[in-house]
Amino acid sequence: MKAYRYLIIGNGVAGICGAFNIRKLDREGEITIVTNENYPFYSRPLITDVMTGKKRAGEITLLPENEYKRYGFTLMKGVQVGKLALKERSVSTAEGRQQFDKLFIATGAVPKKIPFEGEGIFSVRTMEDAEKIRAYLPKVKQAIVFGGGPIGIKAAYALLTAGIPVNIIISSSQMLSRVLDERSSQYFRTLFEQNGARFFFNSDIKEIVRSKRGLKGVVTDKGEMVQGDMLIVGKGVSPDLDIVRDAGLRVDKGILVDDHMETNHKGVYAAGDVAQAKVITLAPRHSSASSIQHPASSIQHRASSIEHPASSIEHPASSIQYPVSSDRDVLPLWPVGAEQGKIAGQNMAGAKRAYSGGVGSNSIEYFGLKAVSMGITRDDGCEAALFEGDGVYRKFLFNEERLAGAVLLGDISDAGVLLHAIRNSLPVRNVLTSAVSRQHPASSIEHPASDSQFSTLRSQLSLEVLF
Amino acid sequence: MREIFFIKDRCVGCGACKTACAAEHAKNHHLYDPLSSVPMGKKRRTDRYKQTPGDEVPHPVRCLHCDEPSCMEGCISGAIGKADRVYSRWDACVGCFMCVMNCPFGAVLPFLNKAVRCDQCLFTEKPACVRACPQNAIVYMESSEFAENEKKKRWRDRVQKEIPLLKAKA
Ligand SMILES: Cc1cc2nc3c(=O)[nH]c(=O)nc-3n(C[C@H](O)[C@H](O)[C@H](O)COP(=O)(O)OP(=O)(O)OC[C@H]3O[C@@H](n4cnc5c(N)ncnc54)[C@H](O)[C@@H]3O)c2cc1C
Ligand code: SF4
Ligand code: SF4
Repeated sequence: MKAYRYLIIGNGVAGICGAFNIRKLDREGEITIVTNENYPFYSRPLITDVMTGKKRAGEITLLPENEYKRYGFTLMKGVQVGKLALKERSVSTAEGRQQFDKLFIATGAVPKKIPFEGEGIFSVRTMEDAEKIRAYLPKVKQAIVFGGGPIGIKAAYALLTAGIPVNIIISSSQMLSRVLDERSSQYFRTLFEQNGARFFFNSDIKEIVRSKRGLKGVVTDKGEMVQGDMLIVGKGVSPDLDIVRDAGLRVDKGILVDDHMETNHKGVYAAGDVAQAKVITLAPRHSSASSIQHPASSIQHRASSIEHPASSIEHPASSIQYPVSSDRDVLPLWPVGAEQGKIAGQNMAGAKRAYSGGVGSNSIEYFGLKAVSMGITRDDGCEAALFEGDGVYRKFLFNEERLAGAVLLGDISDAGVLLHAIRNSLPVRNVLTSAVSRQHPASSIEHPASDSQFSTLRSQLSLEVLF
Repeated sequence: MREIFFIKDRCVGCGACKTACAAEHAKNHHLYDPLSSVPMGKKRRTDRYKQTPGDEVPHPVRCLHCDEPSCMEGCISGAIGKADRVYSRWDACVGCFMCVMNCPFGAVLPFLNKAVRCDQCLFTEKPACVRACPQNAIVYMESSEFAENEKKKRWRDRVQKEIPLLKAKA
């Protein structure tokens, strides 16, 4: 039998996981990985450490270049992919045409743009960005970070730990608004402020102020002047759809894929930040954008499925082939990319594995304070169980008997068990509420985190020095 | 590969396994270290053996060394590897706790700024928890051997239940 030719566009976590899983099932196939970056596979979330010089590029490389051969992967570094010709089963690259039998698109995401650019304005997405910032850093006495999402805050944290004060401009009223709820973000806000950060909430950039020496600061739409010699933009990411624009693939927010991570074109797969795949949301439905993912939910929400008969499971035509895009979403997360890449790779090599659906979840650690959030984090209309005290904050949100989301701060053990409960819609409400009430019967949210709570927290943190 | 098995109905919840685990992973294998290094009275998790509350008896949890470890998929630093057993390398771990978030069994524990898991007490003949358990509720054996024992046990239980019945009939 002729060896299959697999072509993978993208050398990120999704692409590499795909490649390894193809190789597991198909020992002969030719696997080619194309990337427009000039580095072998590295850990994207760790580039903020490279940015401040804490780690060198080699230290966050996860698959050194000479190892690619060992698994029979051909790496085409620094090669831009231009157009997809799916009918002819080829793509055009800067180094000529590439034929394929199976194609895997894992082109990841690009940072959202702001209408300003020029010297001193950076985004953090690639190793190249990080190296650029590192080269610029000696000039910087104070930095500005625009965006309060995970990437912006991570960049700010890296700068703070490197001893550079940071002004953080956030368009919403709290930091990490997509990850944490308001209460838990207060903890982080306090820690950040104690370590040299200043926050500007509900603000946007109106103007960039430059002097002869370079960037001087920005003016917010409230008219405040924010000082800084460098601006890092972390306003979130959007899927990198450049190469699929006219290729005939179904695209919504990202490339739409079915449960096998296959696009509407046979033999063409997508995964990672670029794919819009199945997600599990157990948010109680009171909006009209309803979709049923779980058979059980149609029983429990009988009322809502009568209101929206088109989305109930009795109509397979609307949900099986290309389900409504509202239960598909882009989740730009590392573990999600890894799992999707795994599923895509195995299916490309001939297996039939279904993706059970992702849950938005994030694990963060700043100044020694750990937090994990998963599923929905805002309690609009759902019932919640809450525990707070001793530098620990735990909030569980329920939809009927099932867990719909959780925010854990301080004590994150068992986070995986909870995530598992969300992914499988397990009825865990009674267990969790009784565990919470046993821990601390008289907990209330009213009182703000007292100083003593933070001091016990910090005494724990100072232990890190011991290790 | 030998594994640690927990036999729940033998456990009385004394916590000797936990203590033994903490001591085993302390610098000089003495319980003094893990107890003294943190403000006393704080809940601590130096031990790699964990007990989940909520059950009527505390239930130790350990890594199952999955075929497709979701902890490994989530790891952003490549610290987790799989060779016979799933392991995490202490020096490579950056403490992002993706693994804690992803393991459906809660088998990875955050400890200060590193993730730790049961390493089955490498370089010892028997894991410390197995040695410590006064009830023989934790055993260390090949999974085939354990399954065999379980089968025998179930057969014995059944026979013990059935004999009085048979006698009554006779
Ligand atoms: C600073 C930072 C911190 C993060 N922290 C976290 C975190 O804590 N937790 C978390 O879950 N996630 C985090 N993420 C997100 C995580 O890194 C991504 O979800 C993950 O890397 C996505 O992997 P991917 O394989 O889908 O895409 P990518 O890693 O973006 O890979 C895309 C690949 O496609 C290639 N490519 C794109 N277009 C072309 C083209 N036209 N031609 C050729 N090649 C092309 C690129 O060269 C690249 O190799 C973070 C991201 C950043 C930037
Ligand atoms: S830590 Fe959890 S997910 Fe990882 S191998 Fe062990 S049991 Fe499996
Ligand atoms: S905490 Fe350490 S071992 Fe766990 S995922 Fe992060 S880097 Fe990997």
